[in-house]
Amino acid sequence: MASIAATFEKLKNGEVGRGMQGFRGHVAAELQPSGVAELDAVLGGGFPRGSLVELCGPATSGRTGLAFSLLAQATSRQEACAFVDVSDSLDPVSLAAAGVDLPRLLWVRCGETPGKKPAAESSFFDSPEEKEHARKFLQQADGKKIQGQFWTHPRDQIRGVEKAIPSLLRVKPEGRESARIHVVKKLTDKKQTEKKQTETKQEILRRHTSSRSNNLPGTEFFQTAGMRDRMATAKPWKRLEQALKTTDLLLHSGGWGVIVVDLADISWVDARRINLSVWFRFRRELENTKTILLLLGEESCAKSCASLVLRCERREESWSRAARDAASGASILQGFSVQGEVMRSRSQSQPSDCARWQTQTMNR
Amino acid sequence: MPFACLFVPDFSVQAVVRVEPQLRNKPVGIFFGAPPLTKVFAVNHAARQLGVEAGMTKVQAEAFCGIEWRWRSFSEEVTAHAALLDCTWTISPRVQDAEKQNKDDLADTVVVDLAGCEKLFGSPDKIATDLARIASNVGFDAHVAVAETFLAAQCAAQGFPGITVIPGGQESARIGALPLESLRIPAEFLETLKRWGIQTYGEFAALPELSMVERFGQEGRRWQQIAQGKDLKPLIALDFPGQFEECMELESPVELLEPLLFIVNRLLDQLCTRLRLHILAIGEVRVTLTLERNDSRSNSQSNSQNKAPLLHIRTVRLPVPAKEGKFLLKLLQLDLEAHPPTSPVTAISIVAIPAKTHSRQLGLFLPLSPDPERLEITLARIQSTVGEGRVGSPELLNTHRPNAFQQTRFAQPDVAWNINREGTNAKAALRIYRPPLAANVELREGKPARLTCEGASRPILALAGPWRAKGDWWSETGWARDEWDVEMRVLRPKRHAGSVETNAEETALYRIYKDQFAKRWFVEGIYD
Repeated sequence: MASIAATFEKLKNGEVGRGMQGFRGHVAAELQPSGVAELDAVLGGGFPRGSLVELCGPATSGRTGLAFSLLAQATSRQEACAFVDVSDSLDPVSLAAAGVDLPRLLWVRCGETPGKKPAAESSFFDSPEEKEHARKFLQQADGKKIQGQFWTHPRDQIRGVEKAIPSLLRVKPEGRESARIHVVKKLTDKKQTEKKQTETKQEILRRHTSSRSNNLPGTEFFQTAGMRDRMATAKPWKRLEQALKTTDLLLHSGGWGVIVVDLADISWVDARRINLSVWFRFRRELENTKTILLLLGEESCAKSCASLVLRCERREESWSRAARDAASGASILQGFSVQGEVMRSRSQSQPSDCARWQTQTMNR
Repeated sequence: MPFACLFVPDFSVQAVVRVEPQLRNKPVGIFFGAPPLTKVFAVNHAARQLGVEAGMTKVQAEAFCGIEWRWRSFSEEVTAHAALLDCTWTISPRVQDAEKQNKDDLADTVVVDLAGCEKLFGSPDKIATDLARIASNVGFDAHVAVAETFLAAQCAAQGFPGITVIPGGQESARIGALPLESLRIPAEFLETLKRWGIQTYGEFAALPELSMVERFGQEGRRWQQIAQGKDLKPLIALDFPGQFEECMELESPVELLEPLLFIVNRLLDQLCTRLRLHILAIGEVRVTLTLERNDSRSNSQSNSQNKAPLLHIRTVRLPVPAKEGKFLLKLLQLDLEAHPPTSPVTAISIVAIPAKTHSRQLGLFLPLSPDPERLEITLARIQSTVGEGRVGSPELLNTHRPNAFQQTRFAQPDVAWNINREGTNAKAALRIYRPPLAANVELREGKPARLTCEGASRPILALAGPWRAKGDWWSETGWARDEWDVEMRVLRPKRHAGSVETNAEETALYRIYKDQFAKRWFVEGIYD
């Protein structure tokens, strides 16, 4: 008791070693400017290096533009960057327009591996095995060996059932059916009123006689329409697995300025099925490095592993007046304003801090 | 003008032992010839101690226990000879093969001109010691001799074991004591000379020249001059090779990748050792696997076609020259995993095209970049994960055609300090749908009013356009389209957790276009 009292006394007098003080002391993280001055002012200088940063928001919320801006800043400092494109939706023209030095960017396009049969190609179509496959894939991506290949613990079998039930009971989307009805309706409308012009697939097939069109990108539709439908409804486990493995490899190799993992086209419900230990491991790998792992998504899915969570929202788009009025004449989409709200931060900025900035569309 | 000579005794055996180091301290013999005329071609010293001699039949030779038997491999002898030349090229570029016993054999003796090398490498003793050490590193147990004349150095290397340095003027005295067998005189000459009672170099060299010519002709005179240590002709230097090769023929076909990689590793180590002697690195590696043919199905007509070897060739090009065998092994492993051979492998050949070693000035303020060697392995691993052609740097093509790009190999450009970028405005990025989504568009007064895509019908709330673009109209790949930027409710609404409900009120900005040739509408992408 006497020794404890003596220790407290030393603590009170500040006589305890420097290690404790160093532990308590705040170590300021190095910051990488994002390229948006308004946001950098709120964040105290930019995104923290050596950490996981999440940019979340709905479609057309400016998160991809912000990521490109960060990449442009990093590549302008001669740093090597990587973009893990889960949905193969990156537009190199936009990248170049944003000022990214393209030779310094590694672009990894995830998708089905050509020539290799996917491990679970068709088993993710809302089937009862869906969750089981997802769990296996994500555990493999996590680097764990699956314990007992043919046996699962009842607790694991029950876990997540409440989320799986809606997908099991889901009725086949009425979209395609309604589309057909819609087209028929429009056809009848066309017959009745010639003011409305409707171009349907059937008409195109009839009129599609030009040999030129065979080389157009649009003709891929006939060959890949089924694939597109399947992609739209298929679960993205294969792509996610590839993306996580790629990110792991990139982090292990080291020396990257910014690594962007683009989950923006992945439903946040699916993205949150990624085991949290994956993000935890990534965060540990990022520690004591200068790499920023930027995660784009609909919602935050890395939870407390993210050092900064920024939510983007589109506030107001700026159209030319002629476009608003839908009047004849040239019109232009000039851009839109984005509001970024800090949802979680371990640096100087506080949650609920907001910044608003204007984005510009590319000049055609 | 001193010369150094490097002689590898039992060259055929050492060529095999070099790629199989586990045989180094064992008695080894080499068979050669088609059955039933198979004979012992060469044996090493340990096997000779057991009583085996070259020229024995296979049946006779196999009666001896404890001897490792291998078949003669010409490809391994070729690479061993190249390695032997590499050893001497480390000292001087003026290198020549010595006389061969048979035309078909490769020279086991290499002579190097040491003129001017003393200032660089030290005394003849030190040069001889260095040559022996280098040969040992490459895998040879070689004899080294330094003498004033070409032939004196050659005779000393072939006659004396270990390192021999003969001072100028003492050649005839030192070489004269050697037995005639070490001169490699043809058997009929040797037999005649022994009948005359001549046993050593010195006795042979002292014979009257005229009498020698009368009895043995010009060939006898040539051998006598060799025994006297006179240089018959000047040294003609060999050319430096443009590539380095290591080969190995396998006793039995290998089906699995893992045992194959053990052999590849061994060959790569040999290649790296040889290249290191020249202070070079590997810029490109070409692996040629000779595959086993399945002859059971082949008929007599196709036999002639089947004689051609079935090869599996893989080439790995390195943006940064590599010096480490482990790094190359990993790259080759990933490449062979992605492109495995279709049949068991019977022989391996690895050709390395040399490149100058990568030198880079390091600094405290260099930007962040991955280690080049680790980067290559990482890229290869990623490529094996996502597929070929899906990893690299984007590069825009010189055309106005939309979505025209290609992916090039990712390699870190050199540092340029003149780029300065401060405070840029954020740009709205476009996220592309690949392939574009086919859509039906309802027009009102020539402008899109409603869009139907992926089973969802959306009214268009605001729009801008059209932006008319056209190109390549002079060719079959012509394109023309009208682009519109539209605002509408999202096509793929955000899902709520645990339910099928979606937030249908969200709007987004899309780019749609009408293909003027196909007369069809597509959704190209979404602004974000």
